[in-house]
Amino acid sequence: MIQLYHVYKAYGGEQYALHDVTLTADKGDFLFITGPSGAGKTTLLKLIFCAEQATRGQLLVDGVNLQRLKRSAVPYLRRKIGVVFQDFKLLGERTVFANVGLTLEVTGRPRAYIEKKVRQVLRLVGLDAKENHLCCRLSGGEQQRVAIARAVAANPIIVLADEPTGNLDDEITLEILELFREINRRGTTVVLATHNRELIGKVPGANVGILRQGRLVAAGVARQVMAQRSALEISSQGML
Amino acid sequence: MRIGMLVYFLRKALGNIWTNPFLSLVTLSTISISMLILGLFSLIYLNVQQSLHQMGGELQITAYLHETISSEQAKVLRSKVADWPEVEEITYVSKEQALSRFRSQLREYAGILEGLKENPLPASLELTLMPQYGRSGNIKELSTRLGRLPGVAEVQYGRKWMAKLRVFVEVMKLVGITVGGLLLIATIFVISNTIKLTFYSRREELEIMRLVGATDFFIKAPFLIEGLLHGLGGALLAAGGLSLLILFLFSHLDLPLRLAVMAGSLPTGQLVAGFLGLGLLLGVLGSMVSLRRFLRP
Repeated sequence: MIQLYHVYKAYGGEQYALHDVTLTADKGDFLFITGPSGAGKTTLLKLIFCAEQATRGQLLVDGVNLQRLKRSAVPYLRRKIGVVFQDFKLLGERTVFANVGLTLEVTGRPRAYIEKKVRQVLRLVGLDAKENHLCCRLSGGEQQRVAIARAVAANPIIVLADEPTGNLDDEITLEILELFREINRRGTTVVLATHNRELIGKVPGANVGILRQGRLVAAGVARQVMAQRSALEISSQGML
Repeated sequence: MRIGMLVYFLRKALGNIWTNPFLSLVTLSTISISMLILGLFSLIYLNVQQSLHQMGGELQITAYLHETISSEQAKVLRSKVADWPEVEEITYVSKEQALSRFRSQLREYAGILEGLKENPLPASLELTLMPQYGRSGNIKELSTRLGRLPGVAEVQYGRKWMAKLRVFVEVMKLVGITVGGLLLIATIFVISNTIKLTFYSRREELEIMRLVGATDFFIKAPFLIEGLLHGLGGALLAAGGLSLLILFLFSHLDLPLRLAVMAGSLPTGQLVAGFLGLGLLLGVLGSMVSLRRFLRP
């Protein structure tokens, strides 16, 4: 579903935000991208939904080579990818319904379909009672749910989420994570970037890629990789 | 494009206009005033030019013949000149006919001629030109050619003011094109600025739309329609204003008869259609200027 081969991303000069990253996520995978701030997690997601272009390497999403993708074809690829942004990117002065419906509006769906679908995804995220509320009046957790509803409204094959639990308390964090698991159970590939390692252990069967200063330092089945990392960290502390 | 989509774009465009009413009002006023000025220039130009054209068609050249020329010689001359392609009609006016015409047309001055022993008026050939030959240059050339013919003493084609009027029309044309061109550029600039401001006020939404898969066309279309509506609205206001102005001039001002008649018989439908077409064009151009800049990759 998502394949990255020796991907580099430089923002001018020789400073690489991503350095030789090779990573794959199959259909229906739940992939965590983790690492400290500035490791390149957001850049990696941006490359996948064509907000940025790789400096070198090959990226394939649903069989489409992004390095060869024409600008005019980008919107059609984005319709296959739902994105939950770190800062939500919601229109505060618009209603919950309007924000979620925007994803469907841009594809030219008829009004009746939009109404039906938006209510369906609002039920999924537990906000069906608040469809007429302005987004700026919602709590952080609710806004995050709106962002998730918008990301899944158009039935994407991939959902990307950038630090979706960054500013939420533990209880809400677990609820949000459960939502992503539900989305994943329905067959959607989920790529979730987070610096919170605790989250990774809460999704059985998930994969993980660990980034450090733009380099992929470990990748594989989350439980194994995290166990190896923990052992490595303990032994290095022992040596000190 | 589906009707539903078109309705969606139209709704968005009207929403843009509705959320910035003052801006829209300023834009509409600017467009309509520019087009009104342009329309006035075109109107005066068309009016005077048409008048000139008509006068050109009616223009007569009179060739006065020598005293010595006989009526037979004059008729030969007449048939020769009648063959010229510029001449629509030619009439031979004998000395006697000239005198009787003078007497009937200027009865109160008929006494002047009483004391004279012989008829002082010369015979003449009166030429009416084909309308397409009624231009100034051709008349001058024709009268010179006519003057060189044996038996022709003098050629008159009167109305020297027509030449001055033609110069005036040419100057008007030049001023009209310059002022009109500048006004049109200014109008495009104003529309593009309005679109730019609307674009800025909605940039957050447009950015999100782009991120969730909106095509450039989907983002552009409402703004194009907004520009188009501004152009159309401005054109309608200008056409209405110009029609009112014509009505006012026609009924209240003491225009020279010909100009007044012309003003009354203007092709109003064509004028309105022209205005609307120009409004549409300006609206689309204005929108495209700003959208090109904002939707660059």
